[in-house]
Amino acid sequence: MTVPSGYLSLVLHAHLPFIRHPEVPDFLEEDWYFEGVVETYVPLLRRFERLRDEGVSFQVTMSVTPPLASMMADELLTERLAKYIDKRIHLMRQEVKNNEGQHVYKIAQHYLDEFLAARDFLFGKYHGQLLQSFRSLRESGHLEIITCTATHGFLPLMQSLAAWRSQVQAAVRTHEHFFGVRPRGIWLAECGYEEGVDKILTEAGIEYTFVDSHGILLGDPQPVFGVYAPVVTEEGVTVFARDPESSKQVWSQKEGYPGDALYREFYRDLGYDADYDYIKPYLHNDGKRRNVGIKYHRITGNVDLSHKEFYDPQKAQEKTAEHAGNFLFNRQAQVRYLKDKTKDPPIIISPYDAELFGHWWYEGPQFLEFLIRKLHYDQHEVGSIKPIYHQI
Amino acid sequence: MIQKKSVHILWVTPSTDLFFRSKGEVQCRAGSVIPKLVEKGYRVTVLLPYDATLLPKTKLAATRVSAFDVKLEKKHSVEISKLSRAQVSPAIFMARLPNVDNPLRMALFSKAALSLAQQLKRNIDIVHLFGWETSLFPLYLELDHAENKFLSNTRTFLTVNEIHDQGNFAPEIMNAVGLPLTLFHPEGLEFYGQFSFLKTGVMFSDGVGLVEPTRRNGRLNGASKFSGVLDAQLFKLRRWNSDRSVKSYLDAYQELLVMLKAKPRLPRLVKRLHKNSHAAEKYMEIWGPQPPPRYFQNYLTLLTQNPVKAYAYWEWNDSSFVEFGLMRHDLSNGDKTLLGRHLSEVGEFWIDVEPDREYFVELVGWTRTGEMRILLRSNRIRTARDKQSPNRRATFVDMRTRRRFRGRGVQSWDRILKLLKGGGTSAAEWGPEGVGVPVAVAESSQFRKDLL
Repeated sequence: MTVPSGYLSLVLHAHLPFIRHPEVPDFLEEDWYFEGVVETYVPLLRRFERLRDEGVSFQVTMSVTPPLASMMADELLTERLAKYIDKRIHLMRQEVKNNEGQHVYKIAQHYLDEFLAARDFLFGKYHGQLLQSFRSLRESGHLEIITCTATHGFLPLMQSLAAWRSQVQAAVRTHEHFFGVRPRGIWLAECGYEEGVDKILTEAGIEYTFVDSHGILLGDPQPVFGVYAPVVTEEGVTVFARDPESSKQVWSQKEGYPGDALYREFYRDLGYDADYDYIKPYLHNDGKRRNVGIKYHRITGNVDLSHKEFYDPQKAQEKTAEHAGNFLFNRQAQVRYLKDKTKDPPIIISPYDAELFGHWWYEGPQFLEFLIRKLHYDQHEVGSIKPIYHQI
Repeated sequence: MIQKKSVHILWVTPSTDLFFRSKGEVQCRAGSVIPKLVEKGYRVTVLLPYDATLLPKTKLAATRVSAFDVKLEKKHSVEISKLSRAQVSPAIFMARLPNVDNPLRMALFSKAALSLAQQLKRNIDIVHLFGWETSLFPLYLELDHAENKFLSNTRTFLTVNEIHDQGNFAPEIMNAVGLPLTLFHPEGLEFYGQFSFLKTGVMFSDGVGLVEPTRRNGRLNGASKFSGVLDAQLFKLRRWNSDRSVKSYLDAYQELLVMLKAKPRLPRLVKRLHKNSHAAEKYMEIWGPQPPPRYFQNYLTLLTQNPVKAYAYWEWNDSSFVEFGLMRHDLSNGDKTLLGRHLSEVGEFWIDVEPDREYFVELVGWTRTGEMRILLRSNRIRTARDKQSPNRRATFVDMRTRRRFRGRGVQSWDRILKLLKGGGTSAAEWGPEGVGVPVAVAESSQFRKDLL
């Protein structure tokens, strides 16, 4: 087996604030969680499982924050999530029926298929226990699940060691509770690292964490290998840093992939486009128009929302494959350049908010799937790796 | 053409920085616009908050000091002292306010300005206000003094130097500053769930001067929500490049003086506001509980924002000090700098710092006798580096052998890399220089980041 010249480590940070309102039947902010599950977590997990089942080797790291894990395990929210999905399926069935023979028919059918697949995955396969999918991928070695500060607290703003300790130890306990193992790594909220945090992490048995690029580049002593090899703190915590190049390709508003004209437009939504009486049953009890997550248009270009053109899932998918190829091409070039400048194969840390994939960038999960397939089938120069395995 | 000699302007400014004490009398510092206005024939009266450093060394004559009560929710004693003699222009006054929380203190400052305007017994053509601290003046003027013969034709002009400083506080403070809660409405004084002094000033003054460098520096971004308030008042907004140009002032004053006196704004507004305080309270509930104005604990906290900016916030609970300041200590070179003097018991302050240095700050207080004491000391902070460290003496750890190597004496990274790539797992392989020194280490890592 060929040893890769360098490694790409995809790190997805999944977090939502804890939103659970049993006192009212219909709470707007709970939609954030439902949208996150349907648009991001399920599409990602479904794809990871498919890749694994097809024998594609890959390693991805995901931080699942304690509030998010707690919501995923909550019965009330799961019950409401089922209703949310059923309502959307009902809406999409109507949309498919009403738009037969029209341009949006294909898109409506696409959404209907996605909602049905999400329901089957969540409630058919896992009986509403989404965490089981995470556990199964972790056990098969494809997914490294790490934790995050307990309430997504930004440690540098906290004034006492006790507060730091509580954030980290509560996170570790919650992780153990839901995933059955201690987390080896932690995503510090907003990469909030400060001198002394490493001691608290060591106490909690955390082996590694991440910082933004300048966290290592401007460190002392100067890092010999830049952000392409980790450093170890005084307390023995291994610290990886974000690679600015690969981040920019995805995050940049101007140059980033998600801004492509063929991709789905987030801000134009059926909740505002449809006739009020038609869409009202799918809005909240207050009857105010809001996003319902059904979007028929593509980014098109720098035009007003009213001038957006219709979305074509097929063309978007082709563009996604192209972007995945381009991303990999750039990582190969990066590895080729770096391999002589580091002792061990360089590691490229590419961290993203998980919700970017699917919720904001609708084609994001597809992009990741293409990328993982290309990493596995098309080349041997760049391998995918969990950060901590780079050290062993 | 306006007869400039007849124009009387009352400057109400929360900052005393433009003034200094000189042989018993207060004077304007060089570069101040006030002397230039006086030269142009304007009569200027200035009201400042109390600043012990501006007091004459001899006691002021009783005729130059007036004391009175201001009634808001409660009665508060205020004292106004005249620092300049006779009828000279500018006539400079100083308001000594009680030790209360900042929003209430600044409300009292606006009230003191109104009292001074009455005491002067002379028509005031323009009241020029500065910053959120004086922003309640136009509303107070409309509520209480519009019928006063000396103020009935007065125009107000508000200069906003720093759009970030908006004086936003919990709505509960409205009762304390004597304003009806019904005004806590999106079309009234409410601003994102808080009662905003600056919004009040922008809404109720006759003219607004927004100093534009704030926008050019991109600092407006953080306060961009406020652009909605400004946009609604565009007709009275003047955008200034600087607040040092006397021409800007003259243009603004001329415009104010030729315009018709605006009708009271409140009667037109009332129809759109809450019907009663109960409705306002219901509205307040939407925004949830507000943090209390103080916690009744003494603390001073210092945080870093970036390599060149730090932020301090504090609370002090002891009424024996009349004035507060912040002292910055740079541990790297021992420098001490007094950052501000007219601070209040509860406050916050953005501090300029240098990269890669250690700092702490102290809250200092002045007693009534002018004695300065250190009250609180903050935690230490170390600011981040803004460029690469010059230190290249890294320690390398081989994770397979768990041995650590120091590149002692090897300054070239190319050489270090060659040695590492050549094996790097034993001291012998560090080359004939014998520079590699293996040390026992427990960690498993590629290399260790610490000082040698």
